[in-house]
Parts: sequence; structure tokens; C-alpha cells
Amino acid sequence: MEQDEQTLIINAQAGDTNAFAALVTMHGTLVYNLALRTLGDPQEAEDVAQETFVRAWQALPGFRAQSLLSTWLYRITTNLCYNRLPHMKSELAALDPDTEIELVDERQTVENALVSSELVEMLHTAVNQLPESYRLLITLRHMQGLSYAAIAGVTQMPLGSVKTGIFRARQQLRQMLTQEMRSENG
Amino acid sequence: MDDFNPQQDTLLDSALNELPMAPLPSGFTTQVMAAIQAEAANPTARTARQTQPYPTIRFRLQPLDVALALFWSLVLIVIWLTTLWWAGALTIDWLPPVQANFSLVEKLSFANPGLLLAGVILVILELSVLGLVGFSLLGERPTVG
Repeated sequence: MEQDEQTLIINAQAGDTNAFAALVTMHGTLVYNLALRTLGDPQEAEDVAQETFVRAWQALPGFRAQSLLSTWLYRITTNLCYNRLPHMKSELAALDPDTEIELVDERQTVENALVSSELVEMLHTAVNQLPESYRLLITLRHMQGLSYAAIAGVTQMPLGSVKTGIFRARQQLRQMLTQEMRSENG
Repeated sequence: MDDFNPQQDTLLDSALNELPMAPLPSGFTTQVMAAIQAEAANPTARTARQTQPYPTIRFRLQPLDVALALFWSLVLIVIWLTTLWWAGALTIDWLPPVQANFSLVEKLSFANPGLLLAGVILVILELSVLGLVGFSLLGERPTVG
């Protein structure tokens, strides 16, 4: 799979449009979902995703595979989202880099956790209510499965700010879910 | 602070990881490839949908604009003063009639107010046209990205 992608990248860099079309199909869903989660509008998300790939095609000859193609695409998508929502970047930049926050890599410990569809639905609604900057971070972390360092690279923000942002986003999600559970039980 | 215990916190993480993905819009890859080909055929042309997010071309007056306007105003004043000086310094045949009609506007106001009004309107229109041309030349600096 890895080799396949590498071959496709090399072929696309040489101008093979079919290879690039395969890369679009391969990464399209993740790019589109990142834009959709962040912008909250399907039409805008489609435009951003489309423009991401157009820009990627133009810049592909300069892609040196120092990072994963997906991470590179997320970075383009994030920049396009910044263009659409300029306040998002300033919101992220305003986050205090709190390096004291210790966030464990929870993705490895929850594989067996049972999650009800009701909780996922509640969470889905709660995520959509977060500010755009937090939505971006949460999506990169949980939907795209990036490490904190990779997120810092994609968003061009200090690692501490990314950690603070994710910490606060999760805190807000907890509060929203608690409120929702209370209202359902009460 | 809230009712979440570590176990529920784990559930939160798990639920976040299971958030559903929206399917890619149909024909997405085809559209992307068509956009790439269109872009290659005409690099400056962008689709309406792509240009839509950047609708605001904002006018930003910069110090250079003011400096240029001042410079050209000064040039015009200097030309006007120089002409007056030359006209006074030289003896020109057509000068006396011009000087005789120098107060044409004042005379018109007594003779024919309608003509004066038309003259004033003409001047206002002329200034408006000048202003519009000036604005179009100085304005519309697109802000990129």
C-alpha cells in the first residue's frame, strides 16, 4: 500500500494524471472531511477539497516526501481553511502554549471500549458546536489520527498551543456531554 | 468540574475516534481532474466557485497614493502659474480679449442665470468624472490570500 502510494506520487510528479486521480480517490475522503468538520458547510468543504488537490497538483513536483502526502494535503487544506476563516488562525495563535499539559496517547488504549451509537451522535452534535479552531484540532487528532507534533506542523502552530487547544476542546466537549446527559436523565 | 470519570473520558476518546466520515461527493475526482486541466489550459482562469470565497477586493489608500496625487496636483498648479506668468510677461495678441472676458462667469450670472447654472452643473460633472477616473486608477488593490 505504502509502495503503491509512493509509485503513484512518482508517476504523478512525472505528469501522469491517472496516477494523480488515484491519489485524489485515495485521500479525497479525509481531505473533504477535514474541510467539512472545520468549515461546517458541505459546499464550502467540497470547494476547499477541490482546490486543495488543484494546488497539490501544481506543487507536486516540489514535494520531496519529507512528510507523508496526507499530512502535506492536510496542511494545504488547513491553509485554505485559514483563508476562509482568518479569525481561526488568530484564535489558535492566541492559545497559551502550556507544555505542562500531559496528554496521553489515548488512541492506543481505547480500542476495546464500547461506544454506544447514542454517545457518538451526541458527540457529533457537540463537536459541531465547538469553535472552528477547536474543530480543526479535534478532527486532525481523532479523525485523521495525527500526532500532536504532526498537528503542530499542519497548523503551523507551536506544539504547546496545539496541546492547549486540544485540551480545551476536550474540556468543552466533556461539559457539553455532561449537560446533555443531565438533561436527558433529569 | 464535571461528572466525567477517567472511564468516561476513555469513552469520549473512543467516541471521538469513531465519529462518522461523510462520503466524498459524487464525481469529486472527475471534477478535480477537470479543474486541473482547465487550470493547465488557462492558468489565470479560475472557476467561479473557486474565486467565490475571495469576493472582497478592498480599496486601501496607501501613502504612495496620496504622495502621487499631491505630486500631480503640484505639477498642475506649477503649470498653471507658469502659464499665467508667461502670459503676463509676454505680449501676446490674444491676451487682451482673454483678460477682457476673464470675469465671464460674473457677467453670465447677470446676463443669463440659466447659462451659469448649466456651467456649474458642467463643472460638477467634470469633477465627478475626474474623481471616478482617479478612484479607478488609485483604487482596487486586491488583497491576496
